[in-house]
Amino acid sequence: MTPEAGTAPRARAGGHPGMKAAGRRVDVGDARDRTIGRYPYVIDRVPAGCLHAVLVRSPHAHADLRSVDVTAARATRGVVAVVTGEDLTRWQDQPDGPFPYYGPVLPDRPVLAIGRVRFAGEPVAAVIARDVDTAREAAATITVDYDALPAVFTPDAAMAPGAPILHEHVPTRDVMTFPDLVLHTEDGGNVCNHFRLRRGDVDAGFAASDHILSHEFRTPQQQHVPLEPHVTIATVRGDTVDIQTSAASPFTVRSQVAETLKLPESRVRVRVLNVGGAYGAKTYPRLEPLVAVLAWAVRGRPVRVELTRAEEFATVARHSSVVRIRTGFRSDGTLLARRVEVLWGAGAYADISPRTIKNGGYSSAGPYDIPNVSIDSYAVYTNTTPSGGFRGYAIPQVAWAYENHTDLIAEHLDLDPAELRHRILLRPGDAFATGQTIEDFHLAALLDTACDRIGWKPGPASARRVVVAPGIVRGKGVSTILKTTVTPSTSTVALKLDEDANLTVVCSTVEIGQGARTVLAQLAADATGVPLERVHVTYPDSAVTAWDQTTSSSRSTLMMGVAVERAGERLRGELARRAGALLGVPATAVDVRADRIRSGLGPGLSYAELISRAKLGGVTVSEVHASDGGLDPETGQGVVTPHFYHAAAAAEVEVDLETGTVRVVDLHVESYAGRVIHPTFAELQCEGNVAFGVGQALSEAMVWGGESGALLNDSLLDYRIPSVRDLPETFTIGMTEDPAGPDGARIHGLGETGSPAVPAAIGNAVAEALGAHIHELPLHPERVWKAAQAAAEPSAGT
Amino acid sequence: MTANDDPRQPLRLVVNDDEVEVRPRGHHTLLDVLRRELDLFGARPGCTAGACGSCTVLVDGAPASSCLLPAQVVGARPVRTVEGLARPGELHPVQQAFIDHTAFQCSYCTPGFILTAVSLLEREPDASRDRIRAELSGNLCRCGSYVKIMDAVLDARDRMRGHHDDGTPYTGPAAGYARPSCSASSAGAGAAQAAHS
Repeated sequence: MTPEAGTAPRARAGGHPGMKAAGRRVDVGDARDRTIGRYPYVIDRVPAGCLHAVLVRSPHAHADLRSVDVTAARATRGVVAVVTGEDLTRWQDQPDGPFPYYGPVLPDRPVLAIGRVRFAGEPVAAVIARDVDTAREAAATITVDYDALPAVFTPDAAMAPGAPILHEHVPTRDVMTFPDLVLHTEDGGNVCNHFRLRRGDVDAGFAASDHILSHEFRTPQQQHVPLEPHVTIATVRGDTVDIQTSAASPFTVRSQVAETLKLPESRVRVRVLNVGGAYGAKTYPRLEPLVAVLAWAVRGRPVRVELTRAEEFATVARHSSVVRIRTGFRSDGTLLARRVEVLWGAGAYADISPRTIKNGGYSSAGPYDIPNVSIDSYAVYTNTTPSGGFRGYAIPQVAWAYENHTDLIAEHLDLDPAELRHRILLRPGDAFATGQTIEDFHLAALLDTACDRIGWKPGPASARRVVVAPGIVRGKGVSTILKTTVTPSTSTVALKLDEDANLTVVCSTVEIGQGARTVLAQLAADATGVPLERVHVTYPDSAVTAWDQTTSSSRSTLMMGVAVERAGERLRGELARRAGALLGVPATAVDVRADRIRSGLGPGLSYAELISRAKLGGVTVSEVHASDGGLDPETGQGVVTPHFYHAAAAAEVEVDLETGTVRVVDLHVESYAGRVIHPTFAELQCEGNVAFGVGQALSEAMVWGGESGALLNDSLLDYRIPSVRDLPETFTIGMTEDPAGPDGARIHGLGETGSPAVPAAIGNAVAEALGAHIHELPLHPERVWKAAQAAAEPSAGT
Repeated sequence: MTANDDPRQPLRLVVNDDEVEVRPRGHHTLLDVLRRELDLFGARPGCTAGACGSCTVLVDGAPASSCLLPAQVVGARPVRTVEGLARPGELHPVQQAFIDHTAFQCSYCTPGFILTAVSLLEREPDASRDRIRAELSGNLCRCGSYVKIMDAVLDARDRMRGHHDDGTPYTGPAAGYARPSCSASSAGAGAAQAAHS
């Protein structure tokens, strides 16, 4: 914590000795820095002697590269080097030359295009110069001759017979980098991974059903829009590489850069400061391999690349999706069988798609008790920005589908949509689609809370429909979702108690705005007995801080939190052992808590006094927390998560039938939290889930088109993310904690949980208002207006 | 014109009450100058299109997108960045309110929101909730901290003018301003709620 901590008038950090820090709105140690412009990000860093690189990008979605002429750029005064795909190919054969292909799962992506471009925005050349202006101007002199090829932009088009093939061969690594991942990849098509789930006998389930309904739903690509763009500074000196980067998983960056530059991982140092927004955009190496190669090209000098907003749109996106879902059920609503086919627009390179589509695959069964399930989920190459994880990790797409579908089942049976969910929701002891037993699950209660909050009136579809004025109609909708977090998963931490009894939490969790540094300090204070004001949490530095798998998947408070708690216990044990030796008593006779070490009566010693008297210099301990699991490669059966995260949402909307505008007039999102560590940051994350959900529901879509297949809305003028005026006029969030109380309650991640529930609840509310479901996001005025027109003319509908 | 034949020209600016000499190229924006020459990093590139507000500074007291403003046209008009907002030892009430309400997540947008709010409240000390919402709609927070940002700015308004909307004297920031306090609840026992109305 910084010395400024404690200036805020509420939520004092201290409290009385022994009072727990967790569960309270403790001060944010660096809050003051955040308000005076001194909260550091990598984008603020420009090392002395730094060179700057600017990229030339393809305007074509799909084209062969005939030639790249860099003569004029190379001759420009101030230009240090120009790098193209041809250079990469040449260097590849040098013993110390970089490996030109990268990717977290499949090494299918060239650092710069080699021979062909596969999406508009793909980097083709890089100019390294003494300053950005010079690099930019030299880059403008580069001429590239393209031979345009047919392109595909949606996954269904890319899977159709005769579609242009993006990769004739899908490369794989000898060693799979992801223990949780099942890889089914084939050459000759555009599918870069296929996930299968088979549970029960789905044909028998359909045969036994009274009703069968099938629907198709679609969602577009979206961009994360972290306001701090990707920025990376790399320096190659001898056989070491130093990387400073705005990234959420420093060790993932390290292993990729080590592979790229053919170095042992320990020769690559990755440092991260506060990250100015990530939401999935910075979970895997996206810019770092390229900047590392450029730094290798000018060995000895730092090279810095800071992306523009338009380039950010060409860096990573949320998958587009086509979800075909078919469910068989009894007349009382009991679900007997579900078959789902999900096609994911992976973009031009695999990135993390092979894993994303696994989670999006098994999750498409929804939070429902279904004995027979068959799921096929395909990651499909398309000529767009590569897709990656995006807050909710493929659940927002499938939840949009299965929750509209659930309401359509309710409509078919003339049932209250909330009542139907009560009949079919998973309950503790039931088995999820992967066979894993559901525990610590409260979704029915969350649904009731959400319904009560918005004044849900029981009844079938249209029971809540109200015409408030001519052409102005209101409706309500609900949704219930389930999300997993990655497993197997490992976090490690070191706790370093200094001679003055200040504690440093040495870990690699990245502060991406979720409040991780505050929350981990709280947990460390409680676990060690060191007062919160004396707890400091490091920024990640792979050369120094303990290894962590990733800051993503809503796992940090859960996984790193438990590692910190265990390490704290170990530290107190170590202090007891040392105190016992000093005092000549058994360690078991020593009580260590709240900065006090006692053996019998008397005031005892403070931690600092023990360290001083026993001449310890300090005490450092480390711990690891790992979770297990994994799925059968053929059936998708097994353990998918340490905990099932879950949330329910209820929305009321007002639709203007004349203009097609949707106003969310009321919304509640209830998430299961297990145990809340910092209520304010937890609220902020839940409120953020609402903002992301509203953006996905009503406005956000990347639009590909034009002659060359470029992204048409690659600026924040044209790609609108929600402002304060775009949020619902009234909304509330709730966090349900373990009914058994905080002791023993498990921590559930909150960073994504509520988000997937929002678009589905809004969509179901719009459906009630219109009397018709819209199957594609976003619900922008044109689409809603068309649906309203179609609903008004029953003969035009199907 | 290229960087090589666009020499840097000396230019005098008044930034945070200091007269400074900088040497921008002709096309450099005020944001370029603040970050590259003056090491003032509180104004941040977000969209470089004037749409997100991350680069907001006050020019002559009014919010400006420093990413669009050529440095050469600033002239003698005083520039204030978030670094120049606090008096020695005392934060501006808007800054203090952002701390008290934890009105940030990744915090990249925070200086822009603070400066927009400062400018509004200095011009319109009695700005209504709707007025504040409208004025802040030019600043984007992708993390979605808007509930607490609104709380902070309303609190700062009352703090600066000394009273609440109902005329009662301002005594201190409420825990959970203008809304029921938000604490977590148990399953089935009713939800904790943070109303945003």
